[in-house]
Amino acid sequence: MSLRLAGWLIEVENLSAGQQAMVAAEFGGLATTNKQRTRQVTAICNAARLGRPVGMPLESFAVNGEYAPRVVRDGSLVEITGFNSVVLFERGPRQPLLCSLAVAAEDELASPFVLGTFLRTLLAYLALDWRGVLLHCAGILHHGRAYLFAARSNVGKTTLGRKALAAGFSVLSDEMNLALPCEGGYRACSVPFTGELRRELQSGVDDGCFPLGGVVLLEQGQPLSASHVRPAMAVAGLLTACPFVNCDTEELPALLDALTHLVSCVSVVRLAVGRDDSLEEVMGTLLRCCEHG
Amino acid sequence: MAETWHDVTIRLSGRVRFRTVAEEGVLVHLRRGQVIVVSRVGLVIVKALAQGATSAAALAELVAGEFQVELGQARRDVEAFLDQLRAEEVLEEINAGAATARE
Repeated sequence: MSLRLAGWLIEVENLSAGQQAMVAAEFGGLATTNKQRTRQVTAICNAARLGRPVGMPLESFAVNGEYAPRVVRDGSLVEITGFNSVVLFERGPRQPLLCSLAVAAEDELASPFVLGTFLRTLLAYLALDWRGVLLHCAGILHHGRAYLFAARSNVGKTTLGRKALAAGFSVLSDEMNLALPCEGGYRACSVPFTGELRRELQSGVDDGCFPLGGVVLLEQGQPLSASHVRPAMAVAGLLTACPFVNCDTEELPALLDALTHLVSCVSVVRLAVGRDDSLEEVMGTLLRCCEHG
Repeated sequence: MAETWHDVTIRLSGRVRFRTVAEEGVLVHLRRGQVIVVSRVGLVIVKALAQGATSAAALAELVAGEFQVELGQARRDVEAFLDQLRAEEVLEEINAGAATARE
């Protein structure tokens, strides 16, 4: 079975018939047929079974209130243990990227929690291979350019996404988006994962890439204000917004490289936004700051 | 005779990685997940600490020479910066040939 994410093709092998049906039901929008497989396979994932459940409580995977699977690195092998799954990645120059996703019970694999988390993790590693980053952020389109609002949970990404939709703007995702280098700069690419705006974004921007206009370190605050962020502060701020790979110490050099290059090419702005600020006011403040950079 | 601050041999902890970004530095503490941004002056000190064990006195001389400041001022600035690094647990002190991680 093949899944297509952000233009990358992921081949999932060894699914049982039941798992194929469940993946099709939960992630059918990502499935691609052989006729559509014009791209080279980016990653091959082996679906496997654990001999027994992981057996650790969900709370043991919480760091600062966020779900954080445990990453253990052994040379080129990355083992990521989650609540009810174990993922292995083989890192290195070889393409496609080889990985496996193992669960104890057959019906666990296709759950949004297990397969969704696996695909998010895979995207984070693939992005690094392309010298880009997967960012915890809301992506908003403004006159054909994408602006990524990076923030931790409960800072206002979804609220901003809602305001954008209400104001007639397109939203890539209110949870995470890719920033990938391209000729002449960076592009922001949507990924099929959303926060609370899942229903609203189902008919929205699909698998699109757009020129990246700017990156925002989003904060709650009044009055509405924007200020340029020095490159080192921008790298430090964005490090915390790069899920999965930012807790893999072996990937840190590549992640720092990717972020250093990103902030050297794209404006990074610290933006304080209040609950009552309209999207027009927010974008106006942001764009003025970007223009004067 | 008691050891004074500038006699202690120190180096950057093995659990810390740093990167030069523009003219500043970004330090990441691998165990704590702490990210610290240091200034241009701080970056010169961090680079020296990363190159090998040194002393605060040597660092003060380095800063004084690099930034054309009076040695006394450089000593005060270096001491304050090293205090900050110690608080962030990114330094190792080396006593009698043995490294003591301050973490």
